[in-house]
Amino acid sequence: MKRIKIITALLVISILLIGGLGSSVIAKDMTGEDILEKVDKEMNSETRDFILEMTIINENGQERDRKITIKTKGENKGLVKFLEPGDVKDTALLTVKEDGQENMWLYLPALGNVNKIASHSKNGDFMGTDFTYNDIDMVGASNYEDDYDSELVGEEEIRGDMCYKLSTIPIKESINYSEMKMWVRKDDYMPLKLEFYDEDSKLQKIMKNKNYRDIDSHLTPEEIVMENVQKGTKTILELSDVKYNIKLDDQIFTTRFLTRN
Amino acid sequence: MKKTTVLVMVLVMIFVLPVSAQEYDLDGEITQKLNYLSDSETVEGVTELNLEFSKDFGLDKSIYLNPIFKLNYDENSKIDAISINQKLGEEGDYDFLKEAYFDYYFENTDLRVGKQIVDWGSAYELNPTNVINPRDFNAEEPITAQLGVASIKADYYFDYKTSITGVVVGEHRASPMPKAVKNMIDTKASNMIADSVYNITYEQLINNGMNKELAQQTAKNNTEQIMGNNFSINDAEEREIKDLSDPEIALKFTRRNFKGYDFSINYFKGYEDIPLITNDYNQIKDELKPIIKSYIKSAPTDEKVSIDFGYKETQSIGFSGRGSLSDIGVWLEIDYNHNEDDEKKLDLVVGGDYTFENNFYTVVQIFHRNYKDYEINKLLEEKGENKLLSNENYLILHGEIPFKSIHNFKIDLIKDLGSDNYMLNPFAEFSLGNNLNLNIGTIVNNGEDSNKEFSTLSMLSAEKTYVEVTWNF
Repeated sequence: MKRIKIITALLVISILLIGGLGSSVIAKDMTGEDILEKVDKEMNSETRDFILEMTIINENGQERDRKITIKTKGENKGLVKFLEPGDVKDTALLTVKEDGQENMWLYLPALGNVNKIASHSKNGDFMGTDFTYNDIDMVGASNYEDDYDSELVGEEEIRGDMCYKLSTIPIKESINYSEMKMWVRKDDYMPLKLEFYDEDSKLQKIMKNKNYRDIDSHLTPEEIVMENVQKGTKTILELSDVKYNIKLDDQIFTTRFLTRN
Repeated sequence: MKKTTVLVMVLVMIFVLPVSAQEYDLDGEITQKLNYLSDSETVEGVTELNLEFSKDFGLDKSIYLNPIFKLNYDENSKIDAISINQKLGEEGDYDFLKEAYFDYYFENTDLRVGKQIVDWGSAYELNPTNVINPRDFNAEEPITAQLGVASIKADYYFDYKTSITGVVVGEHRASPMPKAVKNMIDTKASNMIADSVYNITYEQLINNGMNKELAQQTAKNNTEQIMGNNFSINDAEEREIKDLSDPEIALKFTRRNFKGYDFSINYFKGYEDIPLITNDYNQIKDELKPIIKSYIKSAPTDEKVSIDFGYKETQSIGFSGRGSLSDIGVWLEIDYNHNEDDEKKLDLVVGGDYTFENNFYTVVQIFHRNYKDYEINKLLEEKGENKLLSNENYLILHGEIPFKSIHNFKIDLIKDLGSDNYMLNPFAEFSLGNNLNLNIGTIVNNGEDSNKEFSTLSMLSAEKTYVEVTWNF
């Protein structure tokens, strides 16, 4: 019996050791891909529902506000609806990925009908902000691992937090950056800062995620600032009424519901 | 005011009053527009208050009201020259409520009851399948402006991709027409009759042995007298739908995301929105003969003959499709219309859109309209005159690009492919504040020749430069 106890104890110790050693090996040998996977895992949820207040500041310092709601379900369904300003209120965009194809429908209240729109609509900026549609996808739900190849290039401190510094290269054709640098907080794998480089490898935009707080066990930035250093413009996003993993009926993500208030 | 409109307003009041103390949404827009008309070198103004009231009753019922207060005036206007809700100098209904309806949502069906505008079609601004509501040719933007009609619309969803829509319209509303266009149509009709009177008179006088010169002069005099004393034009009156046994109806089948495309097929049975001559021209000529004889005998009769305008019964079928080729948006819209006198009209729109990486959005579209077997056209052609309803082929270009992040520059071009006529409308939208916008633009229109016929281009605004301030709340 004593022998059995000793063997059991050894097994437990060895398992713990292997596990512990394993963990320390993983932490030590984390690759860029591993870190992106962690970021995606920490940031994603089955559903999200939040309000985004956007302040656009142009090169002359003029400010304009926009307010939208965003609802997402998994990686395949998203609904964006304008709340303010009044001239675009109730304008809504539905995105549904099906059989590998991304389909988008736009509802313009002034026209009164729902029209399918082509993917070129994502070529420009997102509603006059400094975000592209692909950038805003990162706010809705992160999918870094599928969209970028990543390499861990070092560690740096950002606003007092130690971060992994990643150099990532987009693999998705629609992303028009040559490189994205990302600083990911070591403690919780939250991205604190991102730099976007244009096709000439010049720094184009800097994005900063600020004031992470725990909402329904998901760390969420209260404020996201995107600065276009080439144009001298800036967009500030403030997230509020954030809810994760709530029940969002599939019917919400249909053209039938797009026209409803 | 029409009975149906009164009925809608009464129903609205019944619903609104009990809930007035409860929460509701009230949005609105105040617009002040000044137009400088190049041709008349005058300034005219439009002040408009557009209110949108909506109220939800739980998740399955809601009400929507859209009253509009509009004041039109010009630089010299006295108080009696100010017109409310209609273009200065034009006639039309006082359309206080643009829309007023209730929505009911059932498990698979959405029901909308009341005065409403039903928008169908997938093309850019010109939508041939948008057949239910009459166009408002007196509006600032006559291509897109529509008038609400009292109707019931039901959308039944088989699933989230497939649906069928049925609309029953309880009133017939005609398209308000600018006075200049109505006068042009009346003049063409009168001239057609005058020509016939002259020709018949002249032939009879020659047959009676009168010499040519005297016959010409006598025929001319008699024609003037007959046209003045014995001829009239009866304007069209809106068709009265007395009960629901024979209403206007429309059906649409929609399938979304079928091999990447949305498409719909629709059917409409109702009445034309623009007036056409309803009496038979040969019969008019037969009625004219005894009158002409009486004048030749110098014993003029007081018998009357008239040209009657009316709104003909019509049926149409349409197709609308929209999707993408690569990442370019494409659409096709067709409508085939066939009225009670076997006159046919085919409208076809094909186009595409694309957004460049610098945010420049572009639309390219072709519009084709073909009239076939229209009696009025046949008669005018016989007389060597221009058709009243000509075939139309337009190239439509639209571009817009933001500047300084918050302002926009836009340009529209409609080019008649059969002539040199075009309409060009460049304008800039300046954002002065979160809900305050300033639009400055100009319309250059060399479509003078097209005013001889009833065409889409001839309906567009005259040359003008405009400034518009809009405040949303």
